[in-house]
Amino acid sequence: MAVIDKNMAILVVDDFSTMRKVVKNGLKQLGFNNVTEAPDGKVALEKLQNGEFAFVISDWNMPNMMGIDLLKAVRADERLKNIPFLMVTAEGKKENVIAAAKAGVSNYIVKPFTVNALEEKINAIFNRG
Amino acid sequence: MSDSISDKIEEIALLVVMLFPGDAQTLDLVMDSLAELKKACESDQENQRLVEACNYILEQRESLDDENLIAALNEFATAAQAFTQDNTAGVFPHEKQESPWKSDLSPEADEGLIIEFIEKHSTLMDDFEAAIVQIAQLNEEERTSERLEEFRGYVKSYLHNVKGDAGSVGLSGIEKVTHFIEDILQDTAAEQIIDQLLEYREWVLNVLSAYSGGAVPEKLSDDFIAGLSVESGENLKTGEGTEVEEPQSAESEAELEPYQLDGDPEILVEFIAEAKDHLNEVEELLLSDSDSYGREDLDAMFRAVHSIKGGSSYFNIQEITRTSHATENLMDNARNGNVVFNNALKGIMLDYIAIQRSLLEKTSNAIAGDGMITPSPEAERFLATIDDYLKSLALIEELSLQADLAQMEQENKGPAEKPEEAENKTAPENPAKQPIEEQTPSTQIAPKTAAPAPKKARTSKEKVELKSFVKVETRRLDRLMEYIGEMVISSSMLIRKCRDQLSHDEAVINNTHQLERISREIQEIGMSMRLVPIKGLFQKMSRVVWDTAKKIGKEVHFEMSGEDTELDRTVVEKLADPLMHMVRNAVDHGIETPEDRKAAGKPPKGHVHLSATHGGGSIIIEIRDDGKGLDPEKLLKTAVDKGIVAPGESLSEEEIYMLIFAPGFSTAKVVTDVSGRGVGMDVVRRNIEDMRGRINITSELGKGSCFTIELPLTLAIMEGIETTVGYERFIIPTLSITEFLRPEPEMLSTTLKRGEVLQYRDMFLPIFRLADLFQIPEAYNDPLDATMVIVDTGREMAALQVDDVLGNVSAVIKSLGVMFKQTEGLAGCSILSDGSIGLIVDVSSLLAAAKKKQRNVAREEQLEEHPAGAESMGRIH
Repeated sequence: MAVIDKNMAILVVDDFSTMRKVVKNGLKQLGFNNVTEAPDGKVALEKLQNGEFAFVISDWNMPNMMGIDLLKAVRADERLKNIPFLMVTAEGKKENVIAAAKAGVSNYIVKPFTVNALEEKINAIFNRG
Repeated sequence: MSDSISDKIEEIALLVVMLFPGDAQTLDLVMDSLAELKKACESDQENQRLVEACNYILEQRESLDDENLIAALNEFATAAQAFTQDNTAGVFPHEKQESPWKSDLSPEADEGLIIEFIEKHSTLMDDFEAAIVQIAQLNEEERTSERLEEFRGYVKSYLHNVKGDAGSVGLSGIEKVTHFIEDILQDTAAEQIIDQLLEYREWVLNVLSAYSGGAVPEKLSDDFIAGLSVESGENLKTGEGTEVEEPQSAESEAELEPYQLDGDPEILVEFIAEAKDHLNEVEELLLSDSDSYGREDLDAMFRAVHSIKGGSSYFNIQEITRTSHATENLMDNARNGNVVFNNALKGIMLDYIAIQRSLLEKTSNAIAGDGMITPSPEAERFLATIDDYLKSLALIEELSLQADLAQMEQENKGPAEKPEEAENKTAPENPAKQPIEEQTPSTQIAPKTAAPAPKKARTSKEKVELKSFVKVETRRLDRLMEYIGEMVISSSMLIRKCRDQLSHDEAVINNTHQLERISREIQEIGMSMRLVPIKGLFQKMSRVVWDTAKKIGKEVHFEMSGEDTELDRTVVEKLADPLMHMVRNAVDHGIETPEDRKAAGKPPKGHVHLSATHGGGSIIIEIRDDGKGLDPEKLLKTAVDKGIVAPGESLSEEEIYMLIFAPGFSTAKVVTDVSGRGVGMDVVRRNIEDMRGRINITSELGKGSCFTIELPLTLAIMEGIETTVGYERFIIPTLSITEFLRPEPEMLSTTLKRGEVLQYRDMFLPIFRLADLFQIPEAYNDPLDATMVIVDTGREMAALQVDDVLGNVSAVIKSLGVMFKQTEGLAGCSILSDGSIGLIVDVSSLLAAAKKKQRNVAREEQLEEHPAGAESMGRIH
């Protein structure tokens, strides 16, 4: 099992600040401290384009730019296209998950999730290589 | 090979990549896709291999552990992708090898133990059967309670025995099923599930014989449980015989189990605050009196609901999650134009907001407590409303379809009749069905064009004010205020000492000035931190107006002004109930029906205006309506009929208006179901007075009424007048004081009925001596030496006799200790600037207590004079 860099820059995207905090807290518990937040896809994309992020965790439903559009934009960007992308969905709606999978999502996670589930998803993403 | 099949295969392959052991959600999705794939393939013989492969995996789900299952799925995905090219290519898992049979029925312990278990329970199961059959054969009379009791005890203990044994030898399937049966027996008597018990016995024997023979049991434990629970539900129903709704109520009760909050409480607190913000935004949108909502508005509402759902699920606030989920679905349909966002939907959204608020409140309380939430039926009722609404929509679709058909047949004959029939059937007092009525015309005539026009597109920027905030727990603020109060007191004590004793030291005096100024400023800032705009409360009222008007079929336009006026949080909270009651009253009793209004030459739409303004140290709230106004004659008659006013008593118009606050005046007859919550107007008044506020009414018959509430800005500090009585200091709230005076001899007299009275203007006011009421020695005895404080509670006036009036104080209210809690007439105490303690008078309760005392005294005197009367009274009681 590959060792995951705990210092990697992670971008957490959600319009609901409570949710960002929940994710951030979860990440902190897992030892990831380098977390940046963005309130929607549009801001997130700017941050990604101007920064060096190693991992994106994004909500699906957001104003301005939805998570799925952010994912598509990231995958279409030459520099960003290989960033691991974890999509947060409110329910495991199959068509959403499949749409995200087709758009190149690395994995998805369904709200509500436990820190354990988050860890599992992160491990699943980063151990696939 | 059809596209849909290769699509499904791609789907499965994509999902499998993300799958890892323990990921039940994705596994569910994969299994779903497999089932769909299988269905898509079944029609074509060419795909036979694929069907078999799907079947194999689907069957293995229960028996394989995750790792093996995922391995099998990966093999399947690879093989299936090869299969899309050539239906003989690829090796599916089932073609590779037979996997070993595994499930929770497979024994994990060693064979010896299992054989022992089998031997023991094969015989005991026979006894078990015999006992059941014996009970089953008894008729009603033979089933004595002793016998039943014995039977129940036996079944319970035997099942417990089986469970324990099965657990210890690793037969987890049997353990699970037995536990399940035990659970049923918790609320159901054993003799009522005889069939299930027999079934259970057979199943266990089947499993056991499968083990001894090395075969596969017919039914896995979960399947057995699933089969049993359905049947037992039905059996219970028929077994009970009488109550048809029994199973349903049992089911909903099961859902109403208390649940435990989850997650970090600190974040939860933030979630609650944020969720409330979202609700306020949505409410603002809803109540902005707009007739059409643009896509952006609907999106914003949807998102808010969605976010609340997502957040709540984290903290396991189940009711919020469930109600939000249902509402989100509805809003999703609305924003996608599948459903028109009409008044009915608006109502549902408003209900949603109200329910969320109360659920959030409940959650807050739970955080403070043990984190357990006991579900309330309101969430269920709300879900039922949504359900009804969706059903009504389905009905409308059907109707409009029929209408279309009808229209096609007779083109020019106007709208079809069916929808109208539905309308007629709709009982107006049944709100659940109302959507049909409102929905029908738009759907039927123009299903698509009725979709909301994106007219008033609000941009989020307009709404956001750029202020930065820190969220602070209220309790901390309260404590800060407490300490500020203490500080103000001790600094003023210090300042006084300094000025008395160090008046020659200029530097010290200068410092005291500075200290005084700073501590006053701190106090002001402290107070302002507790202040919140009354806007939130007013918005709630606009909802109340809307709801009430809708319910009783009136047209009311609601306006508010001064909503940015700030006042103490506690005041706002306490004001909510009385204000709601008064606003409801204004709509219900004040505003006339549209027909009556037209007849009176008024516009059909009534107006209710709510305003807030500052007035010195107090805030004035007005509820003004342009309805029919109060009829003094009618009011007086009612009051006389109810025995509130003696016949022939002459009252000013204002006094008559105030009668509506008299206890017993607004009874069920006056208060319709809209206005009533069991709260009469007397309680409204009580609530206002508890806040040291007062209420006034002006009204003009036929033109409308105005209720004015005057409230202190804060409850923590009170403006009062300091008085002395003997060695005690009393603080009387300035708001209740009309005048002070030194009585002249001719103003004083003593009446038989009311004791000492003071002639004040054209009235006779009872005199209450604080010294007597609180038994204080060494106070002035002669009223001519004393000072009279004329107090007015709005309901009655009286003269309080004190020794002297010292002057104004801003008293920081402190509660009296437990010892004095019962003392009537006092609201608390305060530390005065010289360090002594002043008692704060609660005028209304003081007057009540004084009158009670006076009556008692009068009665005693009467008893002494007429012992016979005492006897007759004794008999009456």
